[in-house]
Formats: sequence, structure tokens, C-alpha cells
Amino acid sequence: MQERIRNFSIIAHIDHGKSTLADRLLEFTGAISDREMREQFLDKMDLEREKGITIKLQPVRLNYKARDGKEYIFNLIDTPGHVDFTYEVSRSLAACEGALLVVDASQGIEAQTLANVYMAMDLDLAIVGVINKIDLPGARVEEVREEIQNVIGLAAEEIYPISAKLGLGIEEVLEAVVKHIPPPQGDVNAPLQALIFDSYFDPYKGAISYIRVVNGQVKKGDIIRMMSTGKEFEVTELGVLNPYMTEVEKLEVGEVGYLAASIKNVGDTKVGDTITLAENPADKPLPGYKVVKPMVYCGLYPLENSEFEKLRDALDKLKLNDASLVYEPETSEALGFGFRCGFLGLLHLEIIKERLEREYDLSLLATAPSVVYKVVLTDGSEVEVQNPKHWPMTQKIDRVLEPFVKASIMVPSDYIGAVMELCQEKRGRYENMEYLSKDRVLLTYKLPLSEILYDFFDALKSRTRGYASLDYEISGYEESDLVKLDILLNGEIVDALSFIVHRENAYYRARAIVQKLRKIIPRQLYEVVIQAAIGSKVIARETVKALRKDVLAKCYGGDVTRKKKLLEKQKEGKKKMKQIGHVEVPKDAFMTILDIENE
Amino acid sequence: MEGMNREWGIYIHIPFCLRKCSYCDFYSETAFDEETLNAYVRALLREIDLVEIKEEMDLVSVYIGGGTPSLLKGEHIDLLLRKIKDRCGLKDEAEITIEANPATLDESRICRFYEAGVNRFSLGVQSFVDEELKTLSRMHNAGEVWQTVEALQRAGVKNYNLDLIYGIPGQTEASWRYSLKKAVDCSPSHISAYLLQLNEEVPMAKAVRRGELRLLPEEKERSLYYLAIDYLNRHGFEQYEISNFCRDRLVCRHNLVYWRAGEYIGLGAGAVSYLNGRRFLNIPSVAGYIKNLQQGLLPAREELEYMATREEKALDAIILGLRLCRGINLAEFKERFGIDIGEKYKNIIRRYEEEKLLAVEDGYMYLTQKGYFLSNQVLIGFIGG
Repeated sequence: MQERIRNFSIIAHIDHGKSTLADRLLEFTGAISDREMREQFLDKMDLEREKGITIKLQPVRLNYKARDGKEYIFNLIDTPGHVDFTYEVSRSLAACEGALLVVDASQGIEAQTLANVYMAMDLDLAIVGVINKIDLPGARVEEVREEIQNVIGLAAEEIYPISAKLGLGIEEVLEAVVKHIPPPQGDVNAPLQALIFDSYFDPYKGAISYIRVVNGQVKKGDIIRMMSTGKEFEVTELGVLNPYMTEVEKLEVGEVGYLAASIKNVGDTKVGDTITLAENPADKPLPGYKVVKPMVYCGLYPLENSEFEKLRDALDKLKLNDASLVYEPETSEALGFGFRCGFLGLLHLEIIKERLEREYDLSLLATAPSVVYKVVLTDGSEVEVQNPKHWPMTQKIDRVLEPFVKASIMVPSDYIGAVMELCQEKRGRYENMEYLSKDRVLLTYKLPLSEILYDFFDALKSRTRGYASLDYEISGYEESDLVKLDILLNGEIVDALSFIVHRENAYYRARAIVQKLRKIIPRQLYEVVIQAAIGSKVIARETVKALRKDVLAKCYGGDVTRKKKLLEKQKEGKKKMKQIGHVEVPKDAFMTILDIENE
Repeated sequence: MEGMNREWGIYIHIPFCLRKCSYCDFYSETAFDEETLNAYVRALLREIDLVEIKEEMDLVSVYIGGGTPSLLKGEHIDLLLRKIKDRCGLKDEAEITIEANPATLDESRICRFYEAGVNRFSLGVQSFVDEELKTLSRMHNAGEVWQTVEALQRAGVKNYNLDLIYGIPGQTEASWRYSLKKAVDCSPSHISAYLLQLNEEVPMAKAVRRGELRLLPEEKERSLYYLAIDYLNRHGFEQYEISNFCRDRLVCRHNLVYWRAGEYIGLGAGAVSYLNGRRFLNIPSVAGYIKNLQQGLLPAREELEYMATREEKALDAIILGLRLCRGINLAEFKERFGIDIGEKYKNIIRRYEEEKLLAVEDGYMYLTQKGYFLSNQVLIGFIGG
């Protein structure tokens, strides 16, 4: 049995056709019928389908009868492609023995893909190269094959040209999985060790874990123990996803499936934890995952203050599904009770906020994201600041350190100048340049994380006509000349609008933001004065004049309904406002700091 | 009858114009002949036969509006009013108004209308400045207004209204004051002063969007509004609604039916009715309307709104009632809807009292003069903003 199992992931850059390939594998192996087929089958969330991206890893079991006449069990674990979700990728890779590396035949390898391939290589995974979209006119199959050989070190015969869209070469890929990817190791008679690589909450079954059995076996009715907490549960259901949840009696070494054990507390199924049996436990857990540190923080506040508990509950449930999310309660004078939340990146932030709003029916306000600064005080002590509100007083600050990243940018050589210029504008420092092939270059820069968080990626894409790709990793903290910029409405600081900015950019940013706020704050019964200040020094100012007219002059028999509709509309508009003191501020205002970066 | 007044009114829509004014969004047609008018009036007579009539209530007003009702002949009006009297039991002292375009109302028509029972005329004057009338694409000039007013006076008509518009592109404080003065000189019983507010589909709104015309800034509109209130007050006209003024308590009773959230029946193509909590629109097509009635059917209707609960009707009554300067009689309101406004809307009232937009005094809740031009802000508070 163990000999016939193949566990693998697909590594690919966004848009290189990973989900389409997964769809074809499902179809080819008969896991789903034509009737059930829809695009991006494994992307279950509405958000994933709307955005055309994969956010959550999603395991699926396929049965494949190979050319050697034997039946194989494939466990395919789909992975996300965006840099924010690297953590999810590492988790799915840890549950596998191999990976398909999918590369677009006209684009070549992208920086992000490369990072994930290196991660797979570190875990000793077998890599199978797949060149996709060979049917497209711009396909450069031979060049890309050469690039994969040079950069990754695969042999030419380990690389398969296909068209997932047209279904060309799919069988060859399945055969390559059998041939190149080794079956799982492990001992069926050893004590149970099963790795939890994902989990989510089901209102009927409790917490459900996706597991990979590394040693031993687990059966329905077994008493299991979570090795990190020692808590024990009775297994109520085991199953595989083929791709629908299908119950099985047991899961054995090498297999991938799901486990339910009436676990009510979402915190009891930690992703990365090892499950063993209460009777005959393993003596040590599996390595698990390194704890990821959030790179960016923002405040999330319910628009209705009464929904604070509902938000807490929703975050608790999402956390189970997304171990990288961290949060703690915070209070803002302007916004009331909410949570300071840490994310892997901006896309992650956006996705979490949207999931909270959609899946938990919340209406949320997000404050501008901030990275984690280190502030060394004059007394020699050091504080970490991830909320501008907690920025120490200027006279107490000795120096400030901000996180920097090492950014790897792959780009056709024609665009080297454009990319260098952009990095320069974003306070970047040149590190290295390497030719990957005669016209493709890998540029390495040190950049402040705060600068690439906002619009760097979009700017990079637009200045290179979409050809550049980016990957980055935190390289450490460096000293910077940073100041806190406060925004005042009618003389009162709005804590949720404060942000940290490089001193050289402070004036420009201050002006841009007060102008933007003037445009988006509607006229109200009072004049609204908007100011930006560093400490007590006001450096920019705008006013929203008081509303002078809001009337329907004519209202007779035929006008009443229309008038009421207009009033209803106005009322709905007001609902999207947050009352701060006497001022009504649109909830989008708190993200304004981001928008001005994009203008 | 819960949630209703005892008084009701009839509105008759005459959707014909010689030319469409560039700012107007009322339904009307410009291609018609005498036979169309005759057929239309026949259809109206049939509709009167078919509509639901509330015998137990008092019909206090008939209002013939448009379009341009003064395009009708005296005999048309005569037929319509007779029919209404027969079928609906019109009160002796009922107000019977006809709207008229100064360019289409000659002395003989005035006399025929008057003889038929019309006792109130409403003239669409809009401005006494020819340049402004041209901007509004009106057919008449200021001189014709004088002739019409003289004709009314000669015919012995005392109760007539002049409609004026402020906020016209190019209008100044001086020119507005001039129009107000000329209007007062015409000795009307009633003056309506409307802010030019454009529905986005009308030609004038399109011209504004194209940048060919520029509306006045809000600040200017506001000062013209308060100038009108001040000027008219000083010349014997009492303001009784956001845009309406009258002498000697000669209010427009028809409009009071609306503002007191009373019931009304709208007859004709494109007319709106409010009956049993439903607001509905007759098919806005002359041909369709006539066809329906020739077949002996009520015209096709579109339901605009249905207020099923007392709360909804009460909210409607607040939105309308606050238009009146006198405001809402709290005791009457409580009796009618079973809702204590002062209690239910305590916070909202306090908030707008602080802003000096709203006041509660002597059993009435009303907008302050400052509140008139910002009334929507207050109303949003009541509907739950």
C-alpha cells in the first residue's frame, strides 16, 4: 500500500496555470465527472474564485491506474502562489515527498517560484518540471527548459511540456509522478505520528484537521493525544477528500486525510502539532513548522461597537484555519474597541478582512497598516512599536530602527534601469545583479519593508510592463530617520489615522493626505479643519466647509416616494461613516494613507 | 380611520405642453392635436367613474396640473368638474386650482374656467427677467405675465399664485429681488419660490454636465433663499412651508393634503395617487392611458411604495409634516398614529435642537428657519441615519 502512495504539491507563480493543471489531474483520474467540473475546482472560497488565486491549501486524493498496470493513490495538495502565503506553501510541502514545478512557457521562472522551489529542495522533495501553456503563440519551450535546467538543476528528461488548458501532456505528468516522486517512508507498526497541516471549524463536527500520517496508523474510535498540549480526544470521523469528504475506517502511514474528534475549542488543533495515540504514544513530535512572525499590523474595528464580541469569535475561528494570523484587543479613542492584528502581508490583510466580512457577516473598519519598528530610547531601553499610537515622545527617542527586506527581482535586462530607479525612490540600496540567461537578470536590493508593502509591487509591474517578478525576505533592522505624523480633525488627534513616515517624505505625505481627506470627508453641519502635524508642529492644513444646502425645495404628491428614496440613500451613506467627535468620517478614510501612495 | 386625515384631494394631470422646458421632469408630451385632447378628457371622465371613492371623507380640493392644463378648453374643465361633483361629492368651499402658462392663458379662457368652477389659478411665471426666462427655455416673457395678471383681475379672480424660481444660472441677488418685487406688485394671494433643482435626465442637467451652463454655488442659493423669505415677509407674505408663502392665510389647501399625509387620487397619464397606504403611478403614456380606458379598464398602475404599518405611515407623516412652518401637532400625531414623537425620537430631537435646526414648542415640532435649507439632514435623523 505504502509503495503505491505519492504525496505531492504544485509550485507555480500566480497565473502560470496551477489550478488549471489541478483541474485536469482531477478530470483525468476520474475524481470528478464532467458534469461536476468547474474551473478552479479546488479553490473553494468565493474569494479565491473571484480573485483567481489560491489562498488556502486544499488536499485532494486521486486514484491513478498507471501504465505499469498498478493502481496508485495520489495526494495532491494545492498551494497558494502569492508571496504573502509562503507560510501555507511551506506547510503543504512538509506533507509531501515531491512537487510539480509549473512554469509558464512564455514567462519563464519567476522570483516567487524560485523561492518556493528552494524551500522544497531544503525539505528534500523530488521536483518534476512542467512547462505549461505550450499552446500559446509566445511559448519559448526550449529556452524555458534551459532556464529550469540552469537555475534549478533538473535534468532535461525531468521536464514535461504540457498545455493544461487543452489537456495536452497530462498523462505524462501523472506517469512522472509515479516515476520521479518516491513513496512515503515511515513504519506502519511504529507509534502514531500524524502532522496537522491545516484545520478549520465545522459547526457540526467541531474542529477538523487535515493530517499526514508519518508513522503508524489511526482508526475511528482511537483516543488521540495532541502532543503540544497533552489534550486527548476520541476520533469520531476519519476520511479522505476525493475530492468530496469520504469517510474511511483508518488512515495509515503515508496517507493524507481529515480527522474529526468533537474538538470544540478551536485552539486545541494547532497547525504544525503532532497527533499520537494516548495508548502507545510516540516519544517525540514531528518537527512541525517554524512560527511565522507577522510583518504588518493594522487595527480592525467593528463599525458597530456592539459587534466587538462577534469579531473576537470570528477571529478565533479564522485563526484555526490560518495559523499565521495574530491579534490582540486594543482600544482607540476614535474607534472604540477592536483588535490589533498581524498579517504576513497586505494581500493577507485584505483577504482576512474580506473573509471576516463575508463569512462572519461583519462590517469592519481597517486602519492603515504599519510594520514593526524598534525604538531605542534615551535611557538605553528598546521598545517595539507596531501601532503608531504607541510611538514614544520625540525627546525620549534616541534612534529608530525599521525592518528591511532583501528583495530579489527577476526582470528582462531591458528594464534594469526602470527597476533601479524605482528601488532608489523607495529608499532602496543596491546589493547585486546576476544574469540568469543572456536577457534575464536577478537584481538584489535592500529595501525598507514599509516601502514595499504599499504599492511597490504594482509600480514594479507597471514600470516593467508586467515582466518583473518579486520575492523578498526580512533581512533585519536598520536605523532610519522616522517621525510620527498625526492627523487632527477640528484640533483633536485621531489616533487611528497617525502613521510613521520617513522625515524626508513627511511634508509631501502630509499634504497629500490632508488633501485626500478633504475630498472624502463629506460636508457636514460644521466646518471641519483637517491638519497634519509632527509633534505640535502643524505642517499641512485643509478645511471642509460647512454644509450650506441640503433640501428638496419641491415636494408634492408625485415627489414623495422619490424624495424618500433620496433620503434613504443619504441615510445609507451615513451608515458608512464613523462618528469621531462631531465629525463624520467615511470608513475608507482610514486606508487613505495607502491610497495616496498609489496616486 | 387609522393613520389618515378626513380630507382628501383629487389631482388631474394634463400631460401636454407646446414645448418642454429644459429643467422640467414632469411627464408631458408635445405632439398632440385637438382630437387627442378630447380623447384624453373622455378617458379622464371614465377614470373618475372607475376609481375608488371614499364616501365618508371630505373632498376639499381638485388640482388640475401639468404639463399645461391651460391648453384645455373651458368645456373640458366644465365636464371634468361636473363629473367629479356627481361622483365624489365635492364640498361647496372646495379649492379648485388650475395651473397655467402665462403664454397660453387668455381672458376668454380665464372666464370659461372661472365659470366652470375653477376658483384658484397658479401661474408658472418663474422670473420677471427675460434673460432668465430664456435660460429656462420658457415660452413667455415678463410682459405677458402682466397681461395675464390683469386679465385675472378683470375677471374678478382674487386667489392666484405665482411660481418663481431661484438659483437660475446667471441670476443675481439684484435680479432675484427684482422678480420678487414684480411678483408682489401683481398682488397674488400666494407665491411659491422654488430652488432650481435638476433631475439628472433633463436637458438642462445635461448642459450643466457638458459645462455649457453653470449652476449657482450653494452659498449663493442659500442667500437667495433667505432673501426671498425676508423680502416676502416684509411685504405681507407669510411663509407656511419650505417654499410657499401666502397672504391672508390663503394657503394652498391642495398641497396641505399632501403635507399632512392625507390621501389623494391622481387622475390621468403619469399621475400619482396615495390610497390605503399605497402610492402608485398611472401609466405615463397618453396613448396607453386612453387605450386602457377605452377598454373600460383602470389605467395600468405601477406601485411606487406600500406602507403596511402604522410606523411607516407615521414616518411618512413626519417627513411631510416637517415641511410646514407650523410643524407637526404632537397631540394630533399621537392620536392618529399612536406614537409619542417626543419620546420615540428623544435623542434625535435633542441632537437637532442643539444644532438649532429643530424646535419643540407649544405642542408642535417644527424646523427652525435655519433648518429649512438643511431639512434633509434632520429628516435623515428621523429615518434612522
